[in-house]
Amino acid sequence: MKRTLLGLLVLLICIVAGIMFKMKQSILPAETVSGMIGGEKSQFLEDSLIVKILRNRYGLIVDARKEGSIELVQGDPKGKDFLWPSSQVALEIFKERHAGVSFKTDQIFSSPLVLFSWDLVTKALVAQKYAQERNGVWYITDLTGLIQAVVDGKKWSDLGVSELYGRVSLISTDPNRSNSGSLFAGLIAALLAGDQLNDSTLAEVTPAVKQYFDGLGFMESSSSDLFNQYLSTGVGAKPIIAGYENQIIEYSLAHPDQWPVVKEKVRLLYPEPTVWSAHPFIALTPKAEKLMKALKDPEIQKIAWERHGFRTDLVATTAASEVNGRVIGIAPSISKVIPLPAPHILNNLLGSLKNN
Amino acid sequence: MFRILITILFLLTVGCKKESLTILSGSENESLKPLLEEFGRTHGASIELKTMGSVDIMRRLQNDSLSEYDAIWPAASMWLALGDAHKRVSQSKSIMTSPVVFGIKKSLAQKLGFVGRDVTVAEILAAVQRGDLRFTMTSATQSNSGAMAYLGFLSAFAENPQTLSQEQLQDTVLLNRMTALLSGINRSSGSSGWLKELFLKGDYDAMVNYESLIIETNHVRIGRGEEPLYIVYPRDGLSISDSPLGSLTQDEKKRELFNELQEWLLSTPIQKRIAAQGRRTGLGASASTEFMSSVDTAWGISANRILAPVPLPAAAQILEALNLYQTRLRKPSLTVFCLDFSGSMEGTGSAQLKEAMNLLLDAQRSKEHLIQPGYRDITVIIPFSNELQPYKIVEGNSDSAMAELNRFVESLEPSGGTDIYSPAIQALSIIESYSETEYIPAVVLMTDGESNTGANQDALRLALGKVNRDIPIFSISFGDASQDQLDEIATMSRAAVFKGQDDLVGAFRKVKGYN
Repeated sequence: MKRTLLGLLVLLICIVAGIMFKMKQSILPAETVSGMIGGEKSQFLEDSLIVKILRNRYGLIVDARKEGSIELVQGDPKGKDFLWPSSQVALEIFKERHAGVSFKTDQIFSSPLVLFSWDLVTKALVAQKYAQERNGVWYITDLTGLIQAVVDGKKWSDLGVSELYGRVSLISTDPNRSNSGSLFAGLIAALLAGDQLNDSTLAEVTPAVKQYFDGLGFMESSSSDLFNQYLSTGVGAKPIIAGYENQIIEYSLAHPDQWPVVKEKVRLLYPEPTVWSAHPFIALTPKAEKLMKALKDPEIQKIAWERHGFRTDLVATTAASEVNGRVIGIAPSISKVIPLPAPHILNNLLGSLKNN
Repeated sequence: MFRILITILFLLTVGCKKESLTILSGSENESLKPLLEEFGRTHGASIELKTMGSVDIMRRLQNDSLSEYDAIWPAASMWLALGDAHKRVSQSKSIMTSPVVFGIKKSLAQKLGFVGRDVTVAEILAAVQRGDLRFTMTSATQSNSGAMAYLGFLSAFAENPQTLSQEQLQDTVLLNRMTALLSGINRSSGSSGWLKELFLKGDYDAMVNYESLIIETNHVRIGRGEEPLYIVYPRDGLSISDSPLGSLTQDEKKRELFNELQEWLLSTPIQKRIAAQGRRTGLGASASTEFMSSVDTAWGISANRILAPVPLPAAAQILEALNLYQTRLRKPSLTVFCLDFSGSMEGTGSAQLKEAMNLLLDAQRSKEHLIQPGYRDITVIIPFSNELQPYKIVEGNSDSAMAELNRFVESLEPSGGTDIYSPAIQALSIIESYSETEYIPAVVLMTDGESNTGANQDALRLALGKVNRDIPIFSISFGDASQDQLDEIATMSRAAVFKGQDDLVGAFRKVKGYN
């Protein structure tokens, strides 16, 4: 008897909850906006805070599928509301490929290319003058020198890291499949060319860039996979990797349990100069234009930085404070930046890195 | 009235169908099944693990729809990267890590001088060449632990270049050293989990396997009062498998369940429990307190050791290296197929059997599955019914020899009754006529019936004792084969029974990966 009453009660609660849920849903009519994104933004778009603001304030539901930035702008845009790659180069390729398609674009946020390493290795990099610590932030001041050490096949013991076996390595994702890899290839080429990368200097520096990437052997095709492996397999397997600044900030929030341990061991290193990974939004329909405007909502922009590490115009004003308290060594501003090589130059470079 | 309400409530509960997740996984995750069941109980879901070798997982990812699976959990992300051309795997995250190592009986490790210091692959090779060390290891072309160990050894023999090049893979000195090292293998297998079981059944000196499986082995051995295996981390040829769990499903509900499972597995309390089972969890393959409390430092495990694996070569070189292993470098196999051509095989039975043998013998088709014969392999085919029929032996892998074997199989016609013991006994005597140390032998007995005439089990046991060599008699059951008879043969020869009823070709393919 008692059990029956309890059952009835549960049933009643279920019905009421169901009705309330339905009512809540119908507050604002929503339209679904669908498109393709670079994978590094999926956690941002799945963030319940972002979903709520877009739904309640703008009546938008986002249906985003992941693809590599370069691939997604080359596909047929028909039937899609928007494309959201992770680099300016991808936008240029889109313009070239789909000359007749009308669209609007806006820069939503960006993240600098950085290196991730470990306390043990960073100490040696500073001692060897490849890196420098200034005001609690680590900078790679001689990236060309470090790349040269890798290409020359120097051993960790040559750099004074006796704990590590084998050769110095700085691991990147596959430049032909991943945006971070292609940005890194562009950065190295530009540095080797003394920041004067044009058709003729490209030919001069390509062999060295190629030698570096050939030496990497097996390359991951996604920056998030490489970052995860960096953390799971450690300093012996992944002593230094290339990635985006926002990855470590996003990780720090997503893994509060692990973070206190990780925080002490990992090091964020800013190459000087570095390049930006921009996130240009390509709106193909009026619905998508609404989404593009909504993404500039100050609250969304704040969440983008604080919870996902994407730098926005607001970073300077809200300061890095909250994020800084959590993550060690976040640079207050990124001042030394070089522009990405022109799209056709980068394309040629990536083409010559392809062979295997 | 109440009765009606109760019925309604009951129907509502039934209506809420339990969500399920089927995971395609490497065999090394077998021991995590209780943990997955616990998740199922606490989350009202059912989690099913279907295990397969890494190379098969890669192939399936390349070619099949995999619609029967919702998630994928191979031993290492290398296989996802090599296989996932269609980008179907999403959200893959490493659940735990384990290095691939040598486990050597402690007393032998001491005798070899491997205790308490770093050991190089060259030193291991020297011990093999002196005849002081023989070991078991899974096939590099079937199982992840074998593949990673092999790639690690290659890098060491090439003096740890940044990455292995095509030229190095053609260097005869390097290839000869690799061949010499692999000649130390006395038993192989298609699965690391099975290798561990085999090791516990037999009396072997050493095994190449995951650190986690060596730890599991040691717990059993200590329980039996046997000496533990000492773990050697080859300094210049180490690999780490990172056990990524990724999603394959597009279904929203299943996806949610996947996310819950992945989060649960990565949550601190569960990570600690996984570590207590001898897996490394947490940051950088480190040895956590929980991990260290599950092991004995006398086994060679140290909390301070930084695991520095060798970098993997590019995809093209990995595939080339695996091909080289299969056709040139691995210890040659001596395989005797005993094929049932009794009357009951008439029709589809014999057609499927011929199809299966064609897959093994056809150069192109066998290469796709990386089970192609090598140039030093010996292949014997004994057709049988209630009496033995003339058999055929072929040495090497030349096109003409393989074609001849194929034609031989094609020409066979089913008739008569079934005697499975006589061909097995004959297989043993054929194997006995070859050198014991030069080959990895195996008998593959395929049958569709109960043995009811001719020789019996005792005669086979006697013959096995007389030969006095470690020769596994694998069976493939088909039709109405007697499971009891085949299980008994597997037990006496430390082998396994593969079920061919649903997929005879698949069973042959699988068994070929075991020697």
